[in-house]
Amino acid sequence: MIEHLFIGFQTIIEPVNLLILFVSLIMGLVFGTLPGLSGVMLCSLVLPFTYYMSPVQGLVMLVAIYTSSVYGGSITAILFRIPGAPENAATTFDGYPMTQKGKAAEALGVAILCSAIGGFLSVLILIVAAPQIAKFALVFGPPEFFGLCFFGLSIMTSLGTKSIVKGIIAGLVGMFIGTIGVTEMTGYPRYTFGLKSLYSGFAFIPIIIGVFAASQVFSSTEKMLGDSFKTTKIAAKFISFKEIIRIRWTIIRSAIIGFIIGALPMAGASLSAFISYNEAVRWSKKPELFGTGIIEGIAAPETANNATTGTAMVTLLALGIPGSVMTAIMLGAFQVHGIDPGPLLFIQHTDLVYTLFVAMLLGNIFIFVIGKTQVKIIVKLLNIDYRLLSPIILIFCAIGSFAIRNNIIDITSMFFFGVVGYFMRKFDYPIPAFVLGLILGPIAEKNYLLSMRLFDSDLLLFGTKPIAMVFIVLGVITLLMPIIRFYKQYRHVRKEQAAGKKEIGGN
Amino acid sequence: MKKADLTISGILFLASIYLYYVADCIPTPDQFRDVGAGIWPKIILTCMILACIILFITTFRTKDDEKTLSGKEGMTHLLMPVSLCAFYVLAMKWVGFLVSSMIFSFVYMYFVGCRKKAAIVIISLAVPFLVGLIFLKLMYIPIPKGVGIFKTISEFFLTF
Repeated sequence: MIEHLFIGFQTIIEPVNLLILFVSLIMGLVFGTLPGLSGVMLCSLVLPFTYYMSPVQGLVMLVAIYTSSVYGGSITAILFRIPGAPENAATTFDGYPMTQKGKAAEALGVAILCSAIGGFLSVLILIVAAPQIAKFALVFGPPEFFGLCFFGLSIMTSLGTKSIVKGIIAGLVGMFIGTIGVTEMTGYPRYTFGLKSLYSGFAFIPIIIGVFAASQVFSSTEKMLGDSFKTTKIAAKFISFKEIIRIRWTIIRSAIIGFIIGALPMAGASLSAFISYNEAVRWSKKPELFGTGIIEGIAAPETANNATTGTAMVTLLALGIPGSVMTAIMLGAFQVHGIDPGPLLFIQHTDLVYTLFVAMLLGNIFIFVIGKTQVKIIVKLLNIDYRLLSPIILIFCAIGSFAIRNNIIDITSMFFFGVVGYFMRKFDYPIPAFVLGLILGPIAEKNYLLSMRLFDSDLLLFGTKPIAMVFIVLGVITLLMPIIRFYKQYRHVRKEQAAGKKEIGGN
Repeated sequence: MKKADLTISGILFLASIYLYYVADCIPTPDQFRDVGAGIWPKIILTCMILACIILFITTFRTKDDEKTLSGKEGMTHLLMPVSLCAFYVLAMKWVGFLVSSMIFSFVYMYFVGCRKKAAIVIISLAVPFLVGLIFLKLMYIPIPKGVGIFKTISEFFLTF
């Protein structure tokens, strides 16, 4: 294996290959950063060009774009609360509050470092255990996926720290919006009320951009007009090594979650980001601090979403089954060159496979180097007068929403949900819970319906699936924990009040 | 805040009941037995109805925490950016992305109190132009060009 890795390294350091790797990383970073654009979009655009390249060059280009685009989305998520892609939505929960505290550089530092660690470890896992992981991934069917989604959704009680019930309501509204449009299973137009534009449902990205970014601009504009707007001084301090050591368990746990979910077909990086955030909250001694701007809240989703990049390649390389849209495009690139991924790939094209592994490893190292050098430049963006910056953010929100389906209706829905987000903020309804429901709701529905068909509509048969049951039980515990904590606090306050009354009575 | 929460829970409660009724009317094809397109929304809306009842009761029992909206003034301040955005979206279809974005950013910056004339003019012209150029020329993503003379203007700018 070491010998093959060495050959792969020799291939990748050839000037042309290295240039392709570097340029692709930068391109992936740009596409990942800009809302509305994505790594998938860029890979689709460059796929025809790979035909004119050697298999190594074409595939290195695609894996480099894939690796860097997942990290790119965290930059705008942290600076402006605009997640570049759904997998970066969880990063906004604590990333933007850190920016508001003047700690944008530290937040970006955590994102870069954790992205690089997650991605790097994921590739190592891919190198060492690809065939074994592929077998495990095939154990996951619809009931297991439903259990996983239920577990992910259960965090909505923890995201509304001030009011549990408001968190649940926000999450349910998000889940409901995800039901609008023609259903995948039956083809029935649901809640479209005769409007053809609603047949394909709401696109997620415009809604996410609206509730996070546009609502933030509206809030800030209100403050600017009311003269209560405060500018925050941004420190350029990068994260210290001591801090990284302090959050090591969050990183390790999130990386493991990312590896596992990444290997599951069609699970995706956003699911792993939310679940790892959920776990970070659950394991924390101070869960109430999540959402207020702490580094654990960035480390968890960023490690996990990048940790999916390596293991997502497992089913493609070891079995020839693409587990995501991105790997499906890569399958196309393999086929363009007459190569069939699958068990024989490791024997027939060993050098190619190991060159890809080395490209991914180097890609993650380059991400760290590029990211670290760009932090100071990026942070300077925040020192621009917000009165000048706010319409620019809105223009990016608009064009980012439009780019998804080339439809002006998406811009309208983005601004509409911007107003919704503004009021959610005003009345303390947690936006993260809403986005969680919006993203995970449709995945949960699809797997619930498939499971019910599999079980002949007998809900109790979930009990026959141990992995699904473990997730469901964990989900119930996560749902109940904040309620129990709230009840304990309530009882404590009542006791203190009663003791206070007795004292007054005694005096 | 108390009044707002009571209103929101009331509205969501009534909306959930109506939407539950709509979900209940969704036909289930024979081959899907009782797991048709209506089952998932019904689960969500049942939970929503319960959550709204809990929110209504808990809010009703608690004292107002005096955290209220900034009143009419706050709403007026929201009205300005929202109206501008509404005009921006409406104009984009006819005027195109370039011209509408230039006007939008110019007016927005002026309204929020920015008086740096040079900065306003440069940013209003440069940012939409650069964004348009990147999306159209580098990423091959079409942007709204508008109609008539505005289409000609957009095409003229983007021929660079």
